[in-house]
Amino acid sequence: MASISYFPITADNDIAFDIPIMFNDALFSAASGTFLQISGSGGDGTNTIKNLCDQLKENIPSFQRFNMPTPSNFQTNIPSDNNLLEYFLNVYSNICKADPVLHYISGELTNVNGTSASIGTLQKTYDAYTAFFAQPQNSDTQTATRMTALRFAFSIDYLNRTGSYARKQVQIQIPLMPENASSDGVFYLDYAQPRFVQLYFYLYNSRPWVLDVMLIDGSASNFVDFKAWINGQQVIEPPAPSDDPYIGAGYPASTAPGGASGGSFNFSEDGITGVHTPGLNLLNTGLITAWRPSKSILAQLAGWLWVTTPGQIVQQLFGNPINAIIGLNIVPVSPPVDGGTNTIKFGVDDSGVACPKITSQHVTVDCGTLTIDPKYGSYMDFAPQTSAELFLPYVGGLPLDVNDVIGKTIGVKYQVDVLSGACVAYVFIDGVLHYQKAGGCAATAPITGSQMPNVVSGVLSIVGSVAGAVASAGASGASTAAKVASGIATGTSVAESAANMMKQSISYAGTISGWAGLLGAQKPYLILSLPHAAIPGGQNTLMGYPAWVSGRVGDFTGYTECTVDRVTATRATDKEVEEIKSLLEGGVIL
Amino acid sequence: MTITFYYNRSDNNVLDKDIQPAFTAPMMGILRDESSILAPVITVEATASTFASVNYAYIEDFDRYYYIEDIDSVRNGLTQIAMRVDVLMSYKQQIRASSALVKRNAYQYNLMLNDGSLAAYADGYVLAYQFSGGFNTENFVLIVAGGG
Repeated sequence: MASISYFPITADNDIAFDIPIMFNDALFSAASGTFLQISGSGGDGTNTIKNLCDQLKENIPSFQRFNMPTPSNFQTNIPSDNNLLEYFLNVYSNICKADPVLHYISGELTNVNGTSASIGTLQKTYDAYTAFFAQPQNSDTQTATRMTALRFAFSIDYLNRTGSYARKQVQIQIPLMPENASSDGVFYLDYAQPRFVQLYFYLYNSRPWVLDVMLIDGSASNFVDFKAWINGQQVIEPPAPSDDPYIGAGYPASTAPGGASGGSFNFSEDGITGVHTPGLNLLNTGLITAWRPSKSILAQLAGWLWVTTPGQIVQQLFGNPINAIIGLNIVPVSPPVDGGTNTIKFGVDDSGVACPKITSQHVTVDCGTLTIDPKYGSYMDFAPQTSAELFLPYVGGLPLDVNDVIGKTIGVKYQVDVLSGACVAYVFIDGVLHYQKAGGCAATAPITGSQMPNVVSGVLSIVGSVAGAVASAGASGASTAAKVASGIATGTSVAESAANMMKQSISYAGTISGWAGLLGAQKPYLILSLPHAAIPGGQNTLMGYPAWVSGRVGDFTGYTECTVDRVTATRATDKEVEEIKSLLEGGVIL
Repeated sequence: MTITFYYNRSDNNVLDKDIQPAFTAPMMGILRDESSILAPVITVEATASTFASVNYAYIEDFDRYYYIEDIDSVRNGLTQIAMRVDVLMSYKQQIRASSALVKRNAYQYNLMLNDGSLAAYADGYVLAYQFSGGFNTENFVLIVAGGG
């Protein structure tokens, strides 16, 4: 089994080296001193490198972030004067946020079997440290290329507690000794499958040491041309910070203009689309009947109700049909009716007035839809810059979330109860119910009703008056008797007196309500308050527009404000790096 | 040290400066004692008027580009030039390769991000839009007790 192990080499100074270098946990297995177990290998060992790469990809998430160039590309781009090049080890260092001070690494990759000495010098590319591993190329006989291990060593220069620079070295050895290697126990490179070997080292200082910059320039050597190609191939991304609450929670990183959204949140709505019609209906129960009379029908009905003949008065004294009226409303809807052949009955009394009878207690009113397009196509179209309120007849104002208005289709429907006048306005956004609000749409007409005790007392008073009048007439002579006789003969004056007394006892059974609704607008309307945006020409080129996307600085052009975690400029001093960051924050033109 | 003088047409916040060589060949200069490479002061054997149209320089030894901040005539035929490093131009390749969170950009943007950069006049628009349908009729409803 091949394995990768690491161990610090003895420090070349007297400062205690407490291994301030901690590798990313992902690189470690439970075994002490081993941070990645590489298992499995080709029978003859020729695929070990390939397997190692594959398993690195499987075991190190960040390893997968790199695109492996195809062998053909790799071969094609090998400079002609570097025909020894076969592999390189790309080491990516990342300084954890706790210690943002730059570290500089140098080192070399060494074939430890002694057949070749230094096989490459660490070259710092943009964000990575790249080492080239050169092997004598002999594609005809693999036996000419043999090795037992790769050893990768590097050093870290830092400013120690005493204020002087110190250098620490770390060496990583990668044995290439598969258990099932060939009889000579050596590893054979597989020329047919050249691969990148990339390792990520997450370096941080576990102690509050002051790590300062120590510039170590790597020489370009003879790989300078190839380095340019590598730089063109690499897309160096710092690993996503583990403490980002969104990363790992299903929210992908924003990598494109316009951002991205995601997560496991269920955006599928339940889709409430209709208005509710109660299942029970008071009509047609025999207890209540609702009619939809016209004005002329009401006039006929009034003529029947307000009787003037004494016989009818006496008949209605103890059974006035007006008392059977529950209500007379004006509603802004047309309740469905039958053929209009039935006559209105008050209890057992049939008025003989034919009228359309309402067949359904509930009426639905569809007010249609309204589509509001964005004006600016920017955040100016939304809150708090823009606000919206819906006016609903018989209900009132209803503030809307602007997100439910801009670019959406608003629909309004009413469900009206014609008996009570109660109504509910339903507001649909793109066909889905979002709001509902109750109101009243019946204007209740005042209907006179008689209060039975007063009616009775009025009748007794009338009777008393008539008796008194008769007695008085007898006592006062013929003229008076004649008046009474005349009165009795006509009966009208007594009846009028009774009617007048009954009018005095009349009370209003209903109250005037809902009339204001009839006076208001009868169609819903939307009030939209939009800002009057000031948009100077060329604002994007002068100060840009909000982007909030990640990428390489070189991917953008024009005015750009950005934050970089580090600028891997090997020559730059700390002061220069800080100035670069500051300028990028303030805005530069790319 | 070898200094190439330029005329820079770009603003300081431009990463890749539009520069034109001021002279046909680089000039030699001497770094003043105790001078920083970030803000070097170079003495050049030339008259001050030579640099009348010069505002930018590249010092090969430092591998950095510099703004020319001041030109002093020390004496006849000797000019002292104060410079300040232009980190953008000097490290433009590294900057371009750096990973970044771009907060604002001229061409790749999303105007749904509210960063307050859009201004509005005080006189906004208040508009009313009426629905096509509504309550367009009126009817009496007479409700009586008992059967009809």
